[in-house]
Amino acid sequence: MNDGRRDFLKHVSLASGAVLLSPMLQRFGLEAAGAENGKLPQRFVFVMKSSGIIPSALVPETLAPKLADRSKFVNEPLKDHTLAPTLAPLEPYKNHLAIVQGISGTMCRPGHSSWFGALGVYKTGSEHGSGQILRATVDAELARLYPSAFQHVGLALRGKVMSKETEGTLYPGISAVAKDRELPFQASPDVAYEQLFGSAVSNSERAKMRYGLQSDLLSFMSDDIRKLNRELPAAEREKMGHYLAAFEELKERRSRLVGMREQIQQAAPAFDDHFLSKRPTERQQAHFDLIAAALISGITNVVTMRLDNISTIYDDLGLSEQTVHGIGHHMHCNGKTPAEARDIIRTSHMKLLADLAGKLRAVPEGNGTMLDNTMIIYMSDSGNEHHGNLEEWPYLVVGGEGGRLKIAGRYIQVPGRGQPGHPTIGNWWTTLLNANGNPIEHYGNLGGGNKEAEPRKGPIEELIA
Amino acid sequence: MFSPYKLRDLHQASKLLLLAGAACALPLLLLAGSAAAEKEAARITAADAAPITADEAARITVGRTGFDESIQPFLARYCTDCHGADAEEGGLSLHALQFTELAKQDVDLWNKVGEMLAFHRMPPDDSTQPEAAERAQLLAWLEGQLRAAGRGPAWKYKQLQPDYGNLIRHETLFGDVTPQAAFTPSRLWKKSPNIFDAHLKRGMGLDVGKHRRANKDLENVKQPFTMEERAGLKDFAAVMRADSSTLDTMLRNAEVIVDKHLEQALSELDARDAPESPKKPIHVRTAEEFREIILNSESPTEAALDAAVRKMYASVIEWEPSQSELKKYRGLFRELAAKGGNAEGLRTTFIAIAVSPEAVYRQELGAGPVDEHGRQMLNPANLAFAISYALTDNKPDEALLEAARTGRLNTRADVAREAARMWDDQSLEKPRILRFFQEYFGYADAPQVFKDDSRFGAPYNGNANVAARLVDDADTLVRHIVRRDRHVLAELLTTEQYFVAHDGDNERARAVADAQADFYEYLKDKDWQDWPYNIPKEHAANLRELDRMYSHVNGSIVKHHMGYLSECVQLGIQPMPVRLRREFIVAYDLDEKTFDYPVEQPFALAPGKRAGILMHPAWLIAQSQNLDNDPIRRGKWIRESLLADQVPELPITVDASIPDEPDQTLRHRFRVTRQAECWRCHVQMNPLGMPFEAFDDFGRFREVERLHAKGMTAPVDSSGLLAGTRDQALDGPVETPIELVHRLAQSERVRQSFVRHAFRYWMGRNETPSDAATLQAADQAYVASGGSFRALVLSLLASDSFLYRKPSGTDHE
Repeated sequence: MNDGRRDFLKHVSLASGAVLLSPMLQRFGLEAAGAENGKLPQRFVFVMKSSGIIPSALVPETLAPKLADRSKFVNEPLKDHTLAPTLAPLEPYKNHLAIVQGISGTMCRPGHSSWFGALGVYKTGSEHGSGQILRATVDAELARLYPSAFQHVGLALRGKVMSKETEGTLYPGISAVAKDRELPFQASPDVAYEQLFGSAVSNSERAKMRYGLQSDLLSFMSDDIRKLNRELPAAEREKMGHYLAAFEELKERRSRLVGMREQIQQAAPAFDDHFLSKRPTERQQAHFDLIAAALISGITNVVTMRLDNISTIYDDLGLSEQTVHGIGHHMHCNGKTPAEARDIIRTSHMKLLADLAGKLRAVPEGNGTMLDNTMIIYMSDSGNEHHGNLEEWPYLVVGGEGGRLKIAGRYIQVPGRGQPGHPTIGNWWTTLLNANGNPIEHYGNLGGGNKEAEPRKGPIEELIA
Repeated sequence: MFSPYKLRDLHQASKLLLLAGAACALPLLLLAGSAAAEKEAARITAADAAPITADEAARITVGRTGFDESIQPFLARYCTDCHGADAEEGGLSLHALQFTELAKQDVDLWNKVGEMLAFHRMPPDDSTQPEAAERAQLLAWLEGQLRAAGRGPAWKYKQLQPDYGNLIRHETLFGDVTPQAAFTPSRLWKKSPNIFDAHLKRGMGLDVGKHRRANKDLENVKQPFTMEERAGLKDFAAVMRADSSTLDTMLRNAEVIVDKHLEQALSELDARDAPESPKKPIHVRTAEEFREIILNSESPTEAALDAAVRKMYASVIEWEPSQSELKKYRGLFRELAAKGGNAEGLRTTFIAIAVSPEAVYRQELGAGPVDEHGRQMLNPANLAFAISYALTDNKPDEALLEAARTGRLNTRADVAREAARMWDDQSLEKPRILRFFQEYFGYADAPQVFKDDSRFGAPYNGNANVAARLVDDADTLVRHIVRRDRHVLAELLTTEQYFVAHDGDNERARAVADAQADFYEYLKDKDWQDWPYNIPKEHAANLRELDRMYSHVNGSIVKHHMGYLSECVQLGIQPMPVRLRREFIVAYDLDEKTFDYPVEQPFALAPGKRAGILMHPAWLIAQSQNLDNDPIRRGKWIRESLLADQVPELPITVDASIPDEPDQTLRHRFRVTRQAECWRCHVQMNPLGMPFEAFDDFGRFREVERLHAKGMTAPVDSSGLLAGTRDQALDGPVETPIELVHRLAQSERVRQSFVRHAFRYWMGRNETPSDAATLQAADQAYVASGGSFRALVLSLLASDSFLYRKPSGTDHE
């Protein structure tokens, strides 16, 4: 690690916040956050890969015959089946695994990316642009239900679906905290490390005083920008509103980080060179290590991870000749067929999921472990293919739903598109929102589904506990 | 829209479009018009162009009544003749649209209707045009309805995005239009990453002069202003926003910068409390204004405080605080000092200044008297910054600030004078000019396209850094042509004079060549091949004198240089500068074993084979795929950047892939795009991109294409078709890319498209109908001056569009 980086990490940062703490407020963190809902908090990790998930790739071989009739609602225990070969790393977590198939999302933009549609259930964007932000995406809505210091963390290997960006703050165009407000994603694991955990280092009297003064500063700035805003034209008021919201968020974060220092120190991984690696799978691992620590320390309950994009080259998996885009376009790569290349990548992704699941399962919580209260949702922003037509949108969920849903350990195939009772991704996300305390009648745009019938509204009742 | 009038006027090239069939509403409109009809139809008035404010939108009757009284009649009068029950032009019927259905299935359709009207794409030129007020009313109604349906008006979003700049029709801007009072909406414009970098380089108010230490200490200051990585123009005021990640970085930076400013005084203060503690070396002196407050336990006077705030303002905002700002920060300081003492109070106050909105946003709100068009001119201070940031990344220079202070930056003439002064000042770096060409042509993105070493046949990545070297050469070419300032665009498109491994300074190149010759002469008869790393003392001094390329010289360097120099002597060729790696010249079809390096450049690289920036390897690589050329992307670039048309987005149902046929040419594999539903868009791109098949995806000229199947080749077909210049003398088939670029270079449409892009870059926004006069004046300035880019830009900077601001409620979705 270079000296500059070391100094940077040592630097006590106001932005990251949790230097010290009012003696009045003791341990706020995990327990207190859970108490807000009367239950342990539910955590969500949205893992958004690019280039689609081919539905058949998730099917256990022995289950295939039962899935042929697309009019049926299939709900089979996974324990009776051996997982598809590329899912092997998840065998030890089969009780916590759900494979959910057959849901459609044709109200979204098909192609390389459905952008905010995948988590926001509407059509937006173009080939290169992420388009308009109509509403908070479902990950942000869930984050609202389980407030935390870092309300919603965005981490990314890369930015927009075709972008070559790999460092700093990126905007992949998949997650939004509110209408017109995109979630910023941090692509540099070292910077993310500092932002999430760097604060838990200093303890001097001066640091304490500064922390207090900085609270005054944040209030002053908020008031000042509000005043300034009154003099701006409408369009620009909205622009300045983003900056104002940033100050408000920081104030909120600081009030929540009070008392969490010890937890952060315990959970944070030691900083080492893998946080500086440029190799794609090492970098993904670094991001996943941050995710595990952020969840375990309680500083956030929701993370959205842009796992890769179609410009990614998995050279460290021996796939140096093609980008994910090339493989998606059926190019051979280092002597592998496109299908073989996809398998290699998927297996690597499954190892990441298994590793994260393992870390969460090692943390006792309530009568079980943290994994029982964490949903890791693996999906693609292009649904079922490199250019998904979105008639199917596969989900692979690792973890537990805190008793709110009944999908863990199951293979679920809903009636196919055009069949009675067919649900869309709007129904799917409504299910998650309803189960976690957001009573919304229906999340997202209607449409898709069964063209003849009245579009189905509301949750997928069959999945709710 | 397929009226007989139109069909009669379709020329050769556009006939091809008819293949696309009747479903092709948008492309036909783009390509098929006759210039005269377009001009005739492009009558615009001020009311037409004015954005609808939120208030206005609210005043419009939304509901059943509004629909029946205004909207239905509008549709009947202007739309349903073609898009009705009996005639579904473009497969589109508005006849069945009912008011009640708007909120449901038809939202996308209504958005499309809004877009067609907002960008003046409908009704077509030869049809009766709605009055401006009618058009505005329909748009306002639609906007209200879309909002009520939970959707925004997509056209308002598109108006702000660089990607959609061409949606506003060319004829609306360059046709025979009624002049309007031009303005830019009052706005905030986030500072660019480049402005931040330049500010940091200047030391953020810290003295970086003596030991260059402050710079090193500022290594922990990070870039807070990210810019989206995208092809094309990037820095648009509407799309640049500061958010929580900006603030995170801003705060971290503020602490580093402020602590550096106060370090010396704070450490003296610490020493008073703990005299025995070890002292850190301090490299930056704390300013007197700050010391006085920090080292004094008494409350500072108002004057002392104001002086300190002014000083910090000058450092981090690079401007003067207003009286109200001084008052504001006095208040903050008093509050903080009461809790934490003078030192901590001042430190936190300074952090506040460093993260204030003024440190993030350039505020271009307009000031002073409102004119009869509701506009206000930028005040002198704003103008100083606007001019400076137009040409440089730096704050205004002393002369500009002085002009602003002394009342000599109040008029159009003042602005023109200052901009011209800066343009002509050779000692002033003006990176913004080169950056325009980099973003416009996109050649600087070449290093972003990953390519294998193996296909290049030489090291391409890593230290060879071929793409970056090629971009350097392309930069040199652009600088050279802009410096000559004659027919700049045409020269860029057609010149056969290139630079290779040259920075454009012939004197310096000569000096390097002489030094290399001296180096060779000195060594040629010595036993340099046997020297160790540390060369014999008796030669060291001499060589250091001779080797002006390096600050030091050793045995490895001597061997490395001499190997190449001796070879050149044997071959009888002039060596390239030895400080450069030489692999990249392969992209120009050159070979270091035969390349007789021209010390004087530019030179005729490959007459008849290669011409202009579009045949520069940097451009060809930037507009290529990893393994192949990208004729679609190249064609799209020409269609949009040179011909000012907008290619429709890739239809979302298309699985855009070409067959993997290793024994076929790329051109042949693209035949799949000839299917009718593909071709109606691809016809706009493929025929413009295919001529560049004369080069491979590294930019190497070729007469045969090496196919993916090992050992197989096929002859190159570089033919194509130019359509869309609206000039029958220019449109038509082309055999080679050189023919194509020569025709493009003669096109009025192409020249005006160039002007439009320059406008966007320098205004930081898309054109609107009210900018027609600005654009036409810039175009005329360019033509009248014999193609002077200086004249073009100075015309833009002295335009109403640049000088005036007007508050508007363009609250986009």
